[in-house]
Amino acid sequence: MSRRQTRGEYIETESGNRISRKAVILGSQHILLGGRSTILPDCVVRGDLHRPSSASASGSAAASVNIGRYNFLEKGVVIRPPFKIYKGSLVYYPQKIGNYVSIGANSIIEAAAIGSYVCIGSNCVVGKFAILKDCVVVLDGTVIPPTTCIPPFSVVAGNPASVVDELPESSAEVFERRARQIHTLHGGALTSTSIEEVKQSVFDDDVDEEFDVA
Amino acid sequence: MPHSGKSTDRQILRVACPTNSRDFLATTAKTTIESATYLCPMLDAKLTSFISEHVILDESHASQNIVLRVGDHSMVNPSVRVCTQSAANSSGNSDEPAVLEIGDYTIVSDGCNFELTPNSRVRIGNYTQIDPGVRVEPGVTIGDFCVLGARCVIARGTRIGNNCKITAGAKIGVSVVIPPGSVAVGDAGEIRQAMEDMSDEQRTREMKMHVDFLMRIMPAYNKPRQDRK
Repeated sequence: MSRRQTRGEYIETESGNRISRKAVILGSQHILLGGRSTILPDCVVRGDLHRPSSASASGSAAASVNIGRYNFLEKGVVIRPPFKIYKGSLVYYPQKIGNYVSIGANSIIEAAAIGSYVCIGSNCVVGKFAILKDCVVVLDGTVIPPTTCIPPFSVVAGNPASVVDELPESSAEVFERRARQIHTLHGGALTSTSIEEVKQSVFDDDVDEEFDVA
Repeated sequence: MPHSGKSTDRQILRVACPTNSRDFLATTAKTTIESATYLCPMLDAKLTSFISEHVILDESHASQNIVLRVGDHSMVNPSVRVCTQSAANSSGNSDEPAVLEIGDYTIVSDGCNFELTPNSRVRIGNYTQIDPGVRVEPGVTIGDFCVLGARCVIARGTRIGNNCKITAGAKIGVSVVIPPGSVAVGDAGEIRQAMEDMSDEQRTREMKMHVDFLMRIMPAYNKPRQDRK
């Protein structure tokens, strides 16, 4: 693996985000990425679908897609804010995804909010305005209907989705560790930094708090 | 920019929003009219429609040209992949292009995959909304005012009537005829009769609203990249 190849594959930001060059990111000024998130090729993140009236006092418009830290978006994930026809006009609502979330390949996320410590499987559909609370596991191929609310510590599967199992309360820690490990392994395989540096950054808790994006 | 001639290499065509791609459309149209055959992946779109830059017209199976025909005020979102299947009867019908026709005021959302073969075209009606991730196989006809939910799979030869709604994740079998006004649900693609929830005018208004909204926003974020090919 030549150095030139690996450098071209991902864009690495200061806060440790890794975004594939082949991912389709639209409207990057409306996308907030927490630190150390990874976006694999062929992903589509639609930051361009935002409220039209958001040219308010906050200068450049508010975030339409807010993705937290240590997230892992696998290949082909589509992240798209949900829209609604409200009082005769069409509005796209902002989307918030929490920390330590991993989203499997080819999933389509149109949810209004996804909590932290969530694992979404591959080929899933999360419908519009769905709300996933913290510590949820969505198995592969699940279709979550629009405006559903998935309670925390549950495992959902099926089309339409239903809760099939419950998770223990330690799941938060497990998913957090998993997300960090994924980030480390992914980084180690791709970039040319030494393994020690990568391991060091994982345990650097102070660094994390700096990047708490509002 | 347009590739002429048949080539076995994968040709990825990146197109820009119509206001900037007038020249491009002009050159391809000219090629077609003069020589009477389709020489290149062709985009036949009205200038009121919008095809995102990241749409991929994939001709990886040799000697099959793709024509993407888009109607008025339609939107093709990023990461839509239109590719050709190697035809089962590969009798070398290289002159016959594989056509994907999209009607007016239709929205094709991100990550959809369309597969085409030369002799069968995929036709999508007007005022239809196709949600992200839908997979459409050759020879499918989709009617007007339809809503195709996310990640559904429409197998070859299916005919979907007007005013149909296909829920997310549904798998519609081969050569199924879905009568107008019905709802197709679930993995087995069972078909139920739907109640009249929205009149045609209302859906027309909604789609127009949606397309207008997207038209206003998307060109700002979908600028054509001249530096990168």
